[in-house]
Amino acid sequence: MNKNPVKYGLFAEAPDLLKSLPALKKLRKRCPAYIKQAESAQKICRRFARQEMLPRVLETDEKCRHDPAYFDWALWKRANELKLTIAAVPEKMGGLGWSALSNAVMVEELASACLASASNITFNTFGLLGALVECRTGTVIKIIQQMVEAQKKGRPLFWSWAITEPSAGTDMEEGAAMAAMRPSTRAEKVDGGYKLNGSKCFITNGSLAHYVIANIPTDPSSPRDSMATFLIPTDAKGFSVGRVERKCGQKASQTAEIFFRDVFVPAENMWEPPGSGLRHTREILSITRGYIGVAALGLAKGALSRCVDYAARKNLGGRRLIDEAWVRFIIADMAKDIEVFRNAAYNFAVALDARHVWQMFEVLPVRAALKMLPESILGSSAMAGMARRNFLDSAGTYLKRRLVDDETIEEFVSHGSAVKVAGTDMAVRTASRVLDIVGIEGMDAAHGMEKYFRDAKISQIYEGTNQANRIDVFNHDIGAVL
Amino acid sequence: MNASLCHDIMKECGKFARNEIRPCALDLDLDPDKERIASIWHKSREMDLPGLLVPESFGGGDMDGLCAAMVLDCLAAECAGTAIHFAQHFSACAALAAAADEKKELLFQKLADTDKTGIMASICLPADLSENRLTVTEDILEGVSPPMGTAELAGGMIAFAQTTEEPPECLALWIDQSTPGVSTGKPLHLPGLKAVAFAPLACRQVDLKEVITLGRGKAAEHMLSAAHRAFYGLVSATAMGCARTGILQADQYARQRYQFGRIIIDHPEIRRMIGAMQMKLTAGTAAYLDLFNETGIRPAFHAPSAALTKAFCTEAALEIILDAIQIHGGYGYMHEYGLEKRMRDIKVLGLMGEVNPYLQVRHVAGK
Repeated sequence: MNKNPVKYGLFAEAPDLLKSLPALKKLRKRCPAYIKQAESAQKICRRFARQEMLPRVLETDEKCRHDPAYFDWALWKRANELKLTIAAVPEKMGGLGWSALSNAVMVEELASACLASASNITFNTFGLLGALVECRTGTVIKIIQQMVEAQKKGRPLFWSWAITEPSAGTDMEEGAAMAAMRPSTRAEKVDGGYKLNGSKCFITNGSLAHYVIANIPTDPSSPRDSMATFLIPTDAKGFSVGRVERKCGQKASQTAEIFFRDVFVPAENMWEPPGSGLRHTREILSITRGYIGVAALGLAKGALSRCVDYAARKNLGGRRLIDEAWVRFIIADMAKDIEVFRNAAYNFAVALDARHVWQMFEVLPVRAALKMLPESILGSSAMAGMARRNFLDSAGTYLKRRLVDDETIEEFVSHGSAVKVAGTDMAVRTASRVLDIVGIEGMDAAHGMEKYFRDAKISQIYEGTNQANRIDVFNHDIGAVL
Repeated sequence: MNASLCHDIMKECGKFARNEIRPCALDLDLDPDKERIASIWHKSREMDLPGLLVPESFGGGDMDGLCAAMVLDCLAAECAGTAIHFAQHFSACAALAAAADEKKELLFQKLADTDKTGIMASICLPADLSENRLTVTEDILEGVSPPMGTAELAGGMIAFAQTTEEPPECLALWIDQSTPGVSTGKPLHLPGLKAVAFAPLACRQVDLKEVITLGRGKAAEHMLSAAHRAFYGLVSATAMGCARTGILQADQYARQRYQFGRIIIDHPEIRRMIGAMQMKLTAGTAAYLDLFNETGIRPAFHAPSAALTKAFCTEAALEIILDAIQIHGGYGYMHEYGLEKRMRDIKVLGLMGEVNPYLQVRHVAGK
């Protein structure tokens, strides 16, 4: 029997971006470099998914079952060598300069091999995403330089976005809910900065992070009006990590409790002032929710790819499992779901490039600086120092607020929520139906399909439960016109 | 069925499940220790649970499938994996009950537990969608069966084989675990029902004289049909029991968890979700109870199918548990809450025997 997998989905020749998204051909005529980059990203990432991830993800999953704190550093280092950990950083500053579209391609391809490992590689962008909200030029450049320097040295530099608290999950993500929440954290103004106390839970990479970006209220009796965003170095005195959670799936990605006990952060580490924390969260959600949908797309694609391959090999004594008509109908139905959703997901990704923070890399002053200044200056501490000067520092904020206003953010929260709900519901359904085809023999861990089923469920929960996401879709698209 | 006796049995089983199964259910999920499972089985003998379906004349409880299903619902409320050991055993008893009288005599003696030496039995069903099968050629049993539960713990099992001659003939066999040439193959590594070892039964050059032939041809097919009916019905009850606790957990959590300014049970969407879960549980429970309804009182057009009942109940249970996890948010995905284990367990239940879509196709095809 042919040892090569059936060339479908994850196992197909890349790039096949324009085959699966033919509408992009029109865009290629106007922006050839944009599409070319996405095709190149797909080729790199699919090769990485197949050659680097697939051979090890099942073993890693098993190791994490015994030890939730196990981390596959070898895989992460390989991704880091390819700069996948800093893909969004402009090329001139040391990254890959990948657009939102190319980043979506990366998320889909990596998640098709393993959602958890994909998170480990791509969640590094949280630092940059967080900094781009306020978009102080100095802060953004400093963070980019830190990320690039760490990448060059092969050192991890992990950022965690710490939102959830033991008594507040979705409450941290929606205005009315935040106003009524019962916070577990508190920030107290002290000389030169803030003293932080309390705990956060279910924090992705909380156990590995070098920096945590956290929303903490200065007045717990009035959380919405006092919610502020802090950058917290995890080597700060009083910061500690609790247990790494034992989860159903996504085991290769660590989830931990974190504790603040009189953690002091200087005033400059307050990224958003009291009252603006919710806006910070909403802006990040306006990007990340849609990407969770894209990751779910990858998961569904990976599950179906493995299922097709298994069913094509499975001998039932003279016929193959895939020759059964009922199997073909279910597979066709799943392929239909994936194809339809892929169009919705990539529409979101292209919209991010066109109308969200990715525009910042396209505006004249930024483009000119990236074009004219040599790499040595862009990466220098003098550059970061100069950018922190008042005028330049606030120019970034001004420019960005003009490009991405509050209405745009809410529009993207709604759009991203719709993509997230549709994608993650589809992923759970697909991962489950795949097992209905391959049966108990195909469910054996060695075939890799049961892992997709375990991994998929959390995608309906994190980044706001799908119920909370539906509230955002309704409020923005329908509630507003009632 | 003696309703009052059944009620007492349920009460005792509930106590047994809470005291003996609940404390170790999550541990068994992480470390499926055979000794611990065997000790639960032995403990169950104190209430004569293994002999539930064994006729009274052999010292058994003489109860029917309905009672067995309700017992499994009860046990699965704490751990579906532990319950499946009993489901396999009871299915073997149900198959045996369909055998000829002299064969029953031979074997119920083995399964009866009057002197506390009764063995755990299992059932090894053929599967159309597996390339593995047991065949008999000139009185030699050969081959590998599809994966079966309790492969390692059972002292013996009822297996079904086919002769290689034309036309093929079905054989129902009792195979002791210690029979020369009989072994269990490599266990599957499944995501759920961790307390159960799923492995194929491997037979190499086994002389039919070494095993007990319980039936051939029509008699064997009759036993296979009884085994399927019991097995699918009991899997259905197991799925419902497992989901039932999921609903209770979701309901309790929703009454404590504060979100959006109030406890979440006060949110209409959470109420709708729990209502839908209860609706599915009610329908699934009614379906498996009806399957074992021996009175024969039902509409003429309604002939319950064990296979479809299993398909319905396992799918309904999965939907229930996915929503129970959803209501719990991140906590539902964590091991110590036990819900994610239920999700994994139920998914495996849905794949036991034949897969659900195939059962639907086969039912209508009239196989």
